[in-house]
Amino acid sequence: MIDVKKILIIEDDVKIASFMELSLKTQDYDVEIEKTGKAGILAFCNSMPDIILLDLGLPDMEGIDIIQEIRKVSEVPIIVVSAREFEKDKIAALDAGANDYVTKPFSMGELSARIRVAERYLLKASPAAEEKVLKFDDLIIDTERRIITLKQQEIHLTPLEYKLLLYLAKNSGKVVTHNQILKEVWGYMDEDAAKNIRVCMAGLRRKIEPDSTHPHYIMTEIGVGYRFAQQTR
Amino acid sequence: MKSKKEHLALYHTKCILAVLVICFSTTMISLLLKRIGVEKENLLMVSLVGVLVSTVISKGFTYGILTSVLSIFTFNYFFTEPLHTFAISDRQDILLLLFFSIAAVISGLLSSNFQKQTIIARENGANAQLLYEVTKSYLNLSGVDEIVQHTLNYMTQVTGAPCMIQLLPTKYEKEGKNFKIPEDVEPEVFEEGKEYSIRGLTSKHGVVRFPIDAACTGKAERMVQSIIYHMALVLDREYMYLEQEHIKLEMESEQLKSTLLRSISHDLRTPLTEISGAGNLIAENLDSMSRKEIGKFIHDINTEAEWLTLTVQNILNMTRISDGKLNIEKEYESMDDLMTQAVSQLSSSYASERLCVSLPDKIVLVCVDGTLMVQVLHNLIDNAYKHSGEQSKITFSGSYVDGKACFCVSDNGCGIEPAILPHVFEGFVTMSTGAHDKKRGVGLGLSICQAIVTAHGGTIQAENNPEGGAKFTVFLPGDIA
Repeated sequence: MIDVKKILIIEDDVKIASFMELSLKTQDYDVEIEKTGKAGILAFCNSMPDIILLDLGLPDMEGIDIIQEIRKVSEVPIIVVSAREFEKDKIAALDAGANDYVTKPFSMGELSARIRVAERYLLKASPAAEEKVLKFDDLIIDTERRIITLKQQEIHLTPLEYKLLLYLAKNSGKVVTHNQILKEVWGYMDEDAAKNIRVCMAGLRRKIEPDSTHPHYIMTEIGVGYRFAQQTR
Repeated sequence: MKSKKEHLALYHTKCILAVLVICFSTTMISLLLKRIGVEKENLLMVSLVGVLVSTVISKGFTYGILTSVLSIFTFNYFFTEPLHTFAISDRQDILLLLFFSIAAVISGLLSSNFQKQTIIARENGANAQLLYEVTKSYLNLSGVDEIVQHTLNYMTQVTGAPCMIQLLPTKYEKEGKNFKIPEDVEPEVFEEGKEYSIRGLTSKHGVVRFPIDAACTGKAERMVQSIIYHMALVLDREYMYLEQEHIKLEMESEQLKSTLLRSISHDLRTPLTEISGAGNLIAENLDSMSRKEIGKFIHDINTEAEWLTLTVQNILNMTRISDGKLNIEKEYESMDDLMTQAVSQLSSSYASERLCVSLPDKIVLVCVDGTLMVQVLHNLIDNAYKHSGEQSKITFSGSYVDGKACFCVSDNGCGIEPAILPHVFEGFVTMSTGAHDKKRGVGLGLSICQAIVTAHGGTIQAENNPEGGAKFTVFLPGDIA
């Protein structure tokens, strides 16, 4: 049986919504559209979608409130669709628990890619989430022995770099914001923290990326945070 | 500080002592002179000297009179017949003493008058000097804060009391400012105290306040007023300067806006025409066109739309930084992040073999608005792809040179025409030679790049490589981590 994924689109712009619907339907998704935040939450409760596409400029509710409402009861992947003028809201949405974002104008290819990532996240979120060995192409993280290998070569990381890598890897396929990294990896906030993340990240990248000019594992989302590569199975 | 009363008492004791000493010494000298046979008429002259000296010392007429009275009595006692009594037997002596007292009074009056004049003249001189210094000290002040602080310092010098200056808001501010000296003094102190308004040529700039018990009367008050007058003049000058700056800024942003409008009409119309043209063509001839033809037109529409997206993004960025205020959110970013992000945003239609990226050896941090700076780098690489020719190789490198982060986009293509090289950042310049795409301007993109880089305290420069091709370099303040 083909597992048809159900996608809920919460978007007030009819044209964009119908264009997304059309495109997603050709990719065999089951699509539902709601134009307001309240209707969106209601639809979420009724039809339990697998993935939610949420526009940040809704007329009736703040996107962040919708995310918080949904997050109270579900870990369903939420992809935020934001216009440029909502950049701040975008970060707040990610901090509040959104998985990913696309910025208007986006291509359908971009959106489909994000949705595929979210689908895999869906698989990972199933009970077997706490894996002991994380594998990303040539990069293998053995969380039990704390050993990282790239193409069978062991890599030495500083404790902080290891912690950062582990946090990113466990959230692979999700955009993690600077705030989240600060909270989860550093555990404190100060003036230099933002600097420290950048430095640590650049250091980590130079160690694990085969070609650091075209990063394969850690992707930068400038002004927002980082995204880690897909886990391979 | 001693009170006025104590001062006065001290003065009087000093003067009385002086009078006594003077009388005693003139008497002694006179006795001495008498012994060597000097006539008593001449001895009176010694007393007259004593009177004058006491007038000078006491700086007033009263003690001169006192001295002359005392002198008359001692003279009478020691030198007139009968000696050692207060009686006078010789009529001549009475006359002598009468004239002496008249002479003493007149000379005392004259000398004390003269002394008063000198004191007044000296005070006037000091005042003039002080005023001159005040005027001079205000000359090389700049900035409202500095002017007010300077005034406050003067105020405490003159009055010895705390002082507060409240400035009314100017045209460009929402709230006025308060300044106090000493800084930790409570504002309540100034309630119901004295206040002087600072009046400029056209409007009131603010008020100067003193506590209710501050000693600013008479001379100090005049001084305070003249300082305020000077302050008002300097504030006038300062505000005028600020207004000019504002006008200049407004003019500049007006200019940016007009550049924007011109480029919108030019840079947006062309691709829009193509998109709607191609769309129409397909819609009308859907049945008669081959799939291949339709595919070509759709590809064109895509390319143009992509280009439109970039241009719109540029324009949005432009408005973001040219609103008069710079809406830039700076954050530390590593050069690695900026460069990889700029590369990853390139259109997938560009051949990646043509681009060679090299990151800096060390981890370098720059304090920038990441999105804007990535836009700059992206624009530069995009330009290189579009305008250096189909086969050119592009190098995108980062380095750290002389304390500055340096991004360099260089190609081995056709280069920039020397005639337009000095003007490439001026907005709306189109490359006319060699570029495979002649109808599009790159000027808008580059002028935005420059605006963004300048807003970050950096510089951008364009040149031609000696071995051919164009080279754009961005320098930004940066630190090695």
